[in-house]
Amino acid sequence: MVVEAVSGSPPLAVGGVAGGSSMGMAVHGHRLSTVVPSSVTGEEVNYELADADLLHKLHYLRAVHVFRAPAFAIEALKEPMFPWLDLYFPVSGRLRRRHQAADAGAEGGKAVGLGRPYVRCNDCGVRIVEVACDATVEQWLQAEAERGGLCKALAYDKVIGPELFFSPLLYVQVTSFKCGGMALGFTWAHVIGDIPSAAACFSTWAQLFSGKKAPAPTLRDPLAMPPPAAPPASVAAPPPSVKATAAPVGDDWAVPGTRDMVPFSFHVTEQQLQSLQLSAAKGHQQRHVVMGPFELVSAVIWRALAAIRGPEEEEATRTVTVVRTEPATPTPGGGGGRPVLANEHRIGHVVVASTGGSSSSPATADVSKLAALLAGAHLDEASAVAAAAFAGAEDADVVVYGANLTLVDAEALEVYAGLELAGRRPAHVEYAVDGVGDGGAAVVHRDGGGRGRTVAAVLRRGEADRLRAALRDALPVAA
Amino acid sequence: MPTGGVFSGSVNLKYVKLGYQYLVNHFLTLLLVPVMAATALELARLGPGELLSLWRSLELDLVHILCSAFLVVFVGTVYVMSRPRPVYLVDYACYKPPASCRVPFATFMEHTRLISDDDKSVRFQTRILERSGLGEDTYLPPANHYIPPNPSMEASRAEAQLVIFSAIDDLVRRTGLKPKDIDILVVNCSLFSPTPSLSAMIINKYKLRSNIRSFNLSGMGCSAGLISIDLARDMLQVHPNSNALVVSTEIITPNFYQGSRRDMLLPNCLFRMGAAAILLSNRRREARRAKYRLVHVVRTHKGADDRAYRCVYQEEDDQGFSGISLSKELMAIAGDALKSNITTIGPLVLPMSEQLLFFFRLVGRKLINKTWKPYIPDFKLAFEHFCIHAGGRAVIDELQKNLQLSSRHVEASRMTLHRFGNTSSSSLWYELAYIEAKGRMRRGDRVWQIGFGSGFKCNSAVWKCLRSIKTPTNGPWDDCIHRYPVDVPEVVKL
Repeated sequence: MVVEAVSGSPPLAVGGVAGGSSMGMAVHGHRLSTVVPSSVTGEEVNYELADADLLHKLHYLRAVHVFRAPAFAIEALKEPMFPWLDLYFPVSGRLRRRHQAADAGAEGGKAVGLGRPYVRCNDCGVRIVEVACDATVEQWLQAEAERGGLCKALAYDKVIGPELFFSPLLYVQVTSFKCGGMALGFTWAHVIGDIPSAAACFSTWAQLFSGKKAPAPTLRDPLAMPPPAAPPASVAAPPPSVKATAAPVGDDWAVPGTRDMVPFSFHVTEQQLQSLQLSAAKGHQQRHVVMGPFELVSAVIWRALAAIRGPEEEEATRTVTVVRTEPATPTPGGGGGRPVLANEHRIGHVVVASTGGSSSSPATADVSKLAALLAGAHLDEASAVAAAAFAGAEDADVVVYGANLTLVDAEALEVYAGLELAGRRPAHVEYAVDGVGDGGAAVVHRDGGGRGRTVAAVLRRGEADRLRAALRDALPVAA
Repeated sequence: MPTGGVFSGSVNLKYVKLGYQYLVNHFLTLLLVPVMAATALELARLGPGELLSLWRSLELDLVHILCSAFLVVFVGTVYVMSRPRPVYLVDYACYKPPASCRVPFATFMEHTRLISDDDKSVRFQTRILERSGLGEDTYLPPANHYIPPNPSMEASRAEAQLVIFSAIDDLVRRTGLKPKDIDILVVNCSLFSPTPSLSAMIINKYKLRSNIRSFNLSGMGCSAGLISIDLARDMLQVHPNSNALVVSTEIITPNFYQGSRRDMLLPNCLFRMGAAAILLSNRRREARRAKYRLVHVVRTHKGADDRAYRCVYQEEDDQGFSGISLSKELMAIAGDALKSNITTIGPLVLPMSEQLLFFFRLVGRKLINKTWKPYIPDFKLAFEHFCIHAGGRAVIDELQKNLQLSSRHVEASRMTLHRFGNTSSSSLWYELAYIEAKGRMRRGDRVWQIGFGSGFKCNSAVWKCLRSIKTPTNGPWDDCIHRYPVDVPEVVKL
């Protein structure tokens, strides 16, 4: 079933509703409404976007939380959103561009001379989508465990554009299951904040829903303009972790992809992790490098995907982008600090050196060797990467997730506890990055128990099933 | 110096005017004082002995005295009994919608853009909204927050229950009114008329008495609030010792216009959610705690004129969408209706000085010189407060010009339009609440409420304040009155 498109915004990926094509798991009955901040933000309040924000403008975070019955009434879910948006008023604004100087017309318009985007905090609000699903939560969880990739249908599939003026930065989809359970799917524009910022934002709403007081986030000072970027000393290419798009995207903020990308998800149990760690401990050379679950799981994925993609893409698969996130608050629920709304994660890349013949290809390398490489990756702050990628320009169209195969470390996020509603935690949570380039992107975060890991990825069509088989082979289920 | 001469000239004129007004308005007193003084002097001169002989010469015997006494008592009783019962406004409550119903400009424009394919009508509505005089804090019912809005009967009933029951609950809290004590119920809601009626809905919810006299007025437009007050007053003349509950509202949910005819798009942009519940009574004991007494209600109907009849007209457009079309002549017709209304109400409320001036000018126009402009009486002498229906910025501007009011007099109307939008028949009550919340209502103040509505009708009500109202008033303005008055720009930049 195809998601019904409201006039104006193209869907994220053509035919990408893989989960929806499964029998009975389709969602239908879309009803759209809007939630706004409860009080007036002010006249002509602007929220400036830093280079690090604009670096990620083509990407979207998809965060899906599935709750067992009984669900909560939609009015009860909407009610705390109004004061929530008072705290997060930039999220309810809309994007605009600064006017460029008069020479914009010379180059033929759209491609060159588009002004710098910023957010006008006009209280326009976030979009709420109400849908129904004909399966029960248990059926859904079972199908997800078998096939994976079903979470995509539980979040609204829209990108920013073609009219920036009327594109919400956040969609909240509420799916009602036949048994009375519900799913909450957030589609968060990465331009407004990174994954920990988003998780903290959702958690703030959950706290307000449960009747607790939530701390207001630290927002960029609205009067501070981003510092003008220093002109580059030499013409430098953007760092290998990110890539500029082939053609300018204008006001359609979607990655121009040549391939069909589909969602993929996989669960790694605690036992599988332990056996991975044991086998890695036997094999690794550098004892001083700490290889956590993220490095190990990512290494397994890297190896498997390199094998699937084959020798034609060997050069491309040697390079992998690594993104590490720190939580926006020291402890969830407001221990020491306040949540932040910004893109402050760290980005880097690793390359498997091509010396030493065929044994150095990532498809055949040792998992421990790849994991060690990942653990030792040199990472830069997003702002530094953005400064290099933008090189002084007002705006640039850059692909971060998916420029190469991208592995995202979200282990420190409390994705289950963060969205506790009236004392009940979700039965299943998945955080993935959507709108990714051809390289694909995988997010690794904790599962419900806290000890296993969930891998949520977006890959090329055709790779998903083969990767699932490869992972099942590489991670034997404990007897 | 010439300016000095003109200035002193105008000051002199002002004093002349004041003197004239004092002389005419207190004419009888001024006449009576010398007469009484002369009589007193004469009596004093005559002395008690003379007075006694004067008394005896009248040759009054017991029968005469008894008959005279009986006559006096009879005349007095007839006079007292034939006076109309006073109608007291004990208290009223205005509905304050929750923040979850808020509609900022940007959201309204975005929804319009997503619902309508017609670029021109989207641009037109943007222009209307920019110049409307509304603020960023007005309210629409929950069904209108959906894209597209969901105008089902169930949603309309839900809105009706929400606004009406909240207003009545608030009124009950303020006055301690018991459901069993309501003798007369009048509900007006122009565009939503379900079966059973909204008055039956109220009777069902609050378990009112089975011998209640209930009325449900629909289709009577934005001036129906004052028509309900008039009906309640008439009922209170017939039924002694009674309470009347009047509920004025407009239900927005079923009336979203989905087409693109420009003359029908205006209501979408201006009409907002609101309701008011008013308790009227003719019981003597309520006089002690009542806020206002109803002095006059004047109703003017221009429906006999075809232009006036068609100026606010509900019909279907070419695509079959039902909407209310507002004609371009609306302001002119409103001005005409107002003039008719003023002609009737003027003699009832204006001081004699103004009436004489108007009369002389009228005579002069007829007999002496036809080009003299008609005298516009100064209603500021008759009233301390004005509540002009917040139908739109144009209506308030037009009335301010016609009645020569200052911006302070129309402040209540403009600020109500900014804060709550056009809430139709209940807007007059939000304006009254504004004046009270500002602490301007003093004992003895007179209030003039003017409502306009389809038909075309112009209705007025005159109230007299019985006790000074103290702030805070626990009304719909309490959380924001400190921000008002705000300067509403001509054109808001969206």
